[in-house]
Amino acid sequence: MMTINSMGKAFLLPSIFKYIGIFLLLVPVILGLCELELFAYNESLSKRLLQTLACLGFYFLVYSRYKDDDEMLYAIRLKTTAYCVLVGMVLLLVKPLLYYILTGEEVKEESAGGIIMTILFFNALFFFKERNKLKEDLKNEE
Amino acid sequence: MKNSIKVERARNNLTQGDLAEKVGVSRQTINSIETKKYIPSAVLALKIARVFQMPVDALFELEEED
Repeated sequence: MMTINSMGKAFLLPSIFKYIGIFLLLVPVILGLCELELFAYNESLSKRLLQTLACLGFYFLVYSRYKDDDEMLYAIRLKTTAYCVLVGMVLLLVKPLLYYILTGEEVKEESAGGIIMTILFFNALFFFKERNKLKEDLKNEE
Repeated sequence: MKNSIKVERARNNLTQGDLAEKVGVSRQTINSIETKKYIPSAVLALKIARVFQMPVDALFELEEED
């Protein structure tokens, strides 16, 4: 039987993945800035490709092992994951409604990739915000 | 949940870093437990109690809102 242990870090990726995550996040930014031919050639394919890279980047950043990883950071990950699922759900339910109210145009279907990317973006944002808050608390204590 | 980790640490002449190293967590976690921002797991609470050689319920105490 599997034991649920708050000290467990089984699902965390090795720490090297956080550097891969940073690299994967930089690729869409650089490609976007360069406005390469790729975008003109096949817009939907390039959009999907950049979305996938960004999703993987955010995932690797949050779910990689950190030097100070312990049960509290593990709990913070769970908390921020719960928050960002809520954000994703609100986005899925409220955005089309707002779009219709504000523009009066036909409601567009939200893509699964877009929702997942938004959820992972907020996951990373909340996680690093919480982590920095802890570091600041420690500094203030000193 | 109240705790007397800070007092016990001072009594045993341990820094937050020393205690963190002994129980295998970060200094941030010890600081958060002391300032009641984080409630440790039963495993971590037992480990901390073992460092101070005292029972868990002498180190951690439930409050009204718990």
